[in-house]
Amino acid sequence: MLKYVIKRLLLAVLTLFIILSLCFIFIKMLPLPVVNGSTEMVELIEARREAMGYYKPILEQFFLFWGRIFTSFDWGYGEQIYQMQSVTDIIAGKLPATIAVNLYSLILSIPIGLLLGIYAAVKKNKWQDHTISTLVMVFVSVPSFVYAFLIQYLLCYRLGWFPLLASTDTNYLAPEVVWSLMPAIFSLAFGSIAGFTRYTRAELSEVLTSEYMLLARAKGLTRRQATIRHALRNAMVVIFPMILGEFISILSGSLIIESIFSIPGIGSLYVTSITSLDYNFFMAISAFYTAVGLAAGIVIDLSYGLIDPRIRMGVK
Amino acid sequence: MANFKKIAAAAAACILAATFTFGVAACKTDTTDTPPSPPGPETPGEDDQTELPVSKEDVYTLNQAFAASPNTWNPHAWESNTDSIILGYITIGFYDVQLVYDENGDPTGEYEWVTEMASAFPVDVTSQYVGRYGVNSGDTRKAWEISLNELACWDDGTPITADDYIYSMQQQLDPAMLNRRADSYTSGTFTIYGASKYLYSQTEATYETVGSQGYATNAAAIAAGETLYIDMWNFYGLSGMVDADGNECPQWVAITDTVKYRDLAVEEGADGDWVSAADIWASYGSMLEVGSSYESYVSLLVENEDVGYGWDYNANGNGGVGLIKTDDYKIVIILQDSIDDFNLKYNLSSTWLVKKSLYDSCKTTTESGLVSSTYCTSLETTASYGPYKLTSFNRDSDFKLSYNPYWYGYVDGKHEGQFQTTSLYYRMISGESSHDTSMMYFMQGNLDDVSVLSTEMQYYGSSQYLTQTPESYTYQFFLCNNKQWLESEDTATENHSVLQLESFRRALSYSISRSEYCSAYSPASQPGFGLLNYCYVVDPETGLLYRDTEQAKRVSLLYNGFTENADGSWTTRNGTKFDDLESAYEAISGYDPTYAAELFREAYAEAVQLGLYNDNQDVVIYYGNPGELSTVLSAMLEWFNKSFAECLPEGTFKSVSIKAYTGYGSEDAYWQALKAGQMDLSFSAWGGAAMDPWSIIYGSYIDPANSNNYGFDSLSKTLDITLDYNGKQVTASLYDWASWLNNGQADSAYDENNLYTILGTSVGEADLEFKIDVLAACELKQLETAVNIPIYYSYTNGLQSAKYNNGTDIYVNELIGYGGIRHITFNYTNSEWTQFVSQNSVNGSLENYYRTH
Repeated sequence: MLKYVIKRLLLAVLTLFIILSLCFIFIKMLPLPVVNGSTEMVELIEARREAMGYYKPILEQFFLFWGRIFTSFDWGYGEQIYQMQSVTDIIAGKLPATIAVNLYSLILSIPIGLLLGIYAAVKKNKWQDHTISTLVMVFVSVPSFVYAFLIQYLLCYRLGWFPLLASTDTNYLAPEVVWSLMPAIFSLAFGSIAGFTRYTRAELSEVLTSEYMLLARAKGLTRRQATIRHALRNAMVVIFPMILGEFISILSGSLIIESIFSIPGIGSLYVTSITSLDYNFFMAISAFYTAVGLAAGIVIDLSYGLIDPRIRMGVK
Repeated sequence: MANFKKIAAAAAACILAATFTFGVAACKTDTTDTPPSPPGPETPGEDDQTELPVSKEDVYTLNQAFAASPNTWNPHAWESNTDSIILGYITIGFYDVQLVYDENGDPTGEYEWVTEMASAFPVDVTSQYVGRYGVNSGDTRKAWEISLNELACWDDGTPITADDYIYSMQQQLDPAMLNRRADSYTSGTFTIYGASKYLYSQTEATYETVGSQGYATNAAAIAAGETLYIDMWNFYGLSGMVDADGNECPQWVAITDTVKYRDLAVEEGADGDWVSAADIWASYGSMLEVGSSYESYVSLLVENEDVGYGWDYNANGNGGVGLIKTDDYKIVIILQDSIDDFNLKYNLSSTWLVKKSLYDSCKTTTESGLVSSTYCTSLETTASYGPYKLTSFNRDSDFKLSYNPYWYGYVDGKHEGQFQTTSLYYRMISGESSHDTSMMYFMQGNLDDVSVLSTEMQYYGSSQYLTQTPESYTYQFFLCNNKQWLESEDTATENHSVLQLESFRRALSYSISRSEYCSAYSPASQPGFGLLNYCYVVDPETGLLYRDTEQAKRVSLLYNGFTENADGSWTTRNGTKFDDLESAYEAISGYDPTYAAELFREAYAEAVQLGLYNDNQDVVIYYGNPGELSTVLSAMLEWFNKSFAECLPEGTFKSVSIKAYTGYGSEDAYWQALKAGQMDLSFSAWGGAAMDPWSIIYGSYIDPANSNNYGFDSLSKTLDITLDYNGKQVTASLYDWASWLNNGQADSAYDENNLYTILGTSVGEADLEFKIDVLAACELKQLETAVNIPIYYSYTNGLQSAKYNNGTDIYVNELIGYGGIRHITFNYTNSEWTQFVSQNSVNGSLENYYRTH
């Protein structure tokens, strides 16, 4: 098993290297941003670019880039955005806000989503199931920023239950900060709750009708006991990886929500780095998301065995 | 199995725990950027309050919003307006402006200059430097002595002396740093002697346009033995392409070079899949002629003769920057050209000061050797010498400035009643919904200013808290007259070519009722009939506005078809007579459907005669937009189309309409198209520098590097203007006159017709009336090309909270506005304001209050 994990990790590192190399080459092939300004300003910027090595051959820049990463894990400085500020410092400064909002959203979504899914499966084809399924379709279909606007207007402005904007305090464990993040958390959670509910209901509905459930009931287990001990555990083989996947997707998908509630997260940074052609930021954030994705893939694969003992990996 | 479970569980736990722990850990370690409490009473520097020279209770907080976080407020490198917010509070210039009040304490609507970081106004010491630093005998107003304010110090009490100014300028112009703001001192009206040479003293060679090196044509340059280089990246899109040996295509390649590069935009095997600079030159060389829209894509490689140029003056001419310390509190600035009083003070209304110890500690060297500084990019790297100091900064979130207890202005007795604001709190509100969020935040009493959209004017149009502020921007059509581009767009059913006809462009102009447009889409704005609006000041001493001068009014009248009679009266095109210039000027509307129809007929006849149009074609004008069209923008285009349709006579063009083109893919691509003149229509604005109207025509409409006209200007070098100068008739091109106004002729070797030489004076030394004559003549000539069609002069609407008052209710000018932070007074303290909000709000909102007061 250990051998399997090591093999997966090495493959992940190789994949990361290949993806980042491709990203580097492709973004360097794009033309540099147009400089608007006086003749003197244009000359000055061109001279700066020359001095910063922008006009060196891509291959030379490529080796310099990996040399920096391997020798000192240095992702460089902002060139087009956050000029001359450390890329890692900026990202590290913005990451906690994004992680906090997404993690809180997930913590809220998982139990509610699972419970609603279980309830809908148990009450399959009854009015409770129809109601939940209808709401699920609504929440899955409507983008999260629509809830965000509604929540901000109704709960924050008209009713005044929450602050209009998220707190600027960076202690994301403080109750008042969490409270100020609640509108954003709700906005992100609605879609996730709907997703979890839908998957749980679908998986559980299938499992509940299987023969071993009949056997479980026949051997004397109550419906609740059979559902929790047998049905839910089997359904989790599909649901658990989805939870991890959901975390990764909302991590990168909270751009608009962060903007609406003025949360200084990483959401918009990736897009800005691409539109501004800031190579260093683009590479560092690409590396982050790719690494998270690859790590999550490994964890998801390993989790199958944890949840379902019948699944073995790395065993011939 | 047990091992597997442990590993899997550990891995799952690790990934979640690590992300969360990292987040928490990262935020806990961020102790330096401690955010402020929500605005409320507090005292900055509480711990060392007893040692501070000034201590006052923080009771007057001004709450503002910003859309994009400041990145660097380093005076040497700041970029955006947002960057300059912090800079505007933590620094102050040698000189500044303040409102003038009458004996009753009421503002007179005028302003005056006051000394701040200087202790006296500058003294002309040019005669002391004759024979040095480019000063010739008889020169005046080039060398200026500035006595420094001896009370000035940094926010830790460290005194500021002449050495700080010298050190700071050396950093500003450091050739190893190439700071972005160095151009403030290497070009324009405030060019310091030797600054440019010193800045580029480590740059071996530069690519310069052929025209700028004194050649009238590319052929002339080639004949003189010069090698021309073509911009392979920006002209032909070969950035990142390689030759057969895998060598990357350089940006500039000699036009004789036959090395072929693989153009990935062309399918392998098709014509042009491999292309060399020589091929490109052979196919497109004629397009790249001097004076054309594309001239910047061909250059000469100019060796830098000033490599190694030093800071200290030497007689060999290989050193000397015009900034000298004459004693601990005196410096002399020596400029390349003479400068008038206003521009001198205006340019000295900011400084280049940086704090040496901090600046040096913030320096970093990139792997390529370029030195940069992270000075003024965070709380810890910021030093203040202005009225306020940065007390908290959360990137992309908020920041707070509190009064600087070490600022001399609080104790020198010269600022009584000024700078009442004790702190400023800025909160970031961005994104698509930022206006709605800002409005709600304002209505909750958390913001002190908010913009008002035209759709909201029905609610707040009569509020006493509504402010209507003029902007220097004139919104206008920028119309393409690039023959090749327009003809390349034509199809069997679509015609674009007629846009190259001046009569057609003028017909479009007369079809538009500017007043109706303003009522519908920009209620606060005024119909525009000129390129410069009512913000531009030609005489800063008296506040005289360019648009109010006789010359400017004459321009508007002539452009709108009025004729001046011998007796001073004016007659419109349809014969209506006005006794004098003023009454005629009041009658300008810019809208004449009858004349528009006549011009459409004229354009049609011309187009048919020239074979530019056939009757099966609809005339389509593509309006270029970098992103998707908003609903308002779509409605505006429809409105314009309706106006054209109403004026288009039967029997002429089948139809004339504007259609939006949004398929540029990126903002950069949009700008590239604009720069290359590959866009039928851009509807945008140009403004700024309202106190320096002289540079606008050149900078905004002619200079290829800095112009909204970009590729649209192909005429300015071919249009002549003749003006009377001291009884002598001087004829030069629009380009040359505008360039002279921009103070550019002193350096320009563009052609032999050097106005600086002919007139014997620079714009800084010229008589005001003559400068206005030149400006008006340039504006009229540019308008007559009908490439630019002014639509409206922009104003912005805003709501100001009941919490504070500006120094004056009347907007003075762009330099001082309503008085700025210096003159703001408060009606309520922070705690009183909280009470006010709770007493006057309904469900926590002040909407009703602002609608009814």
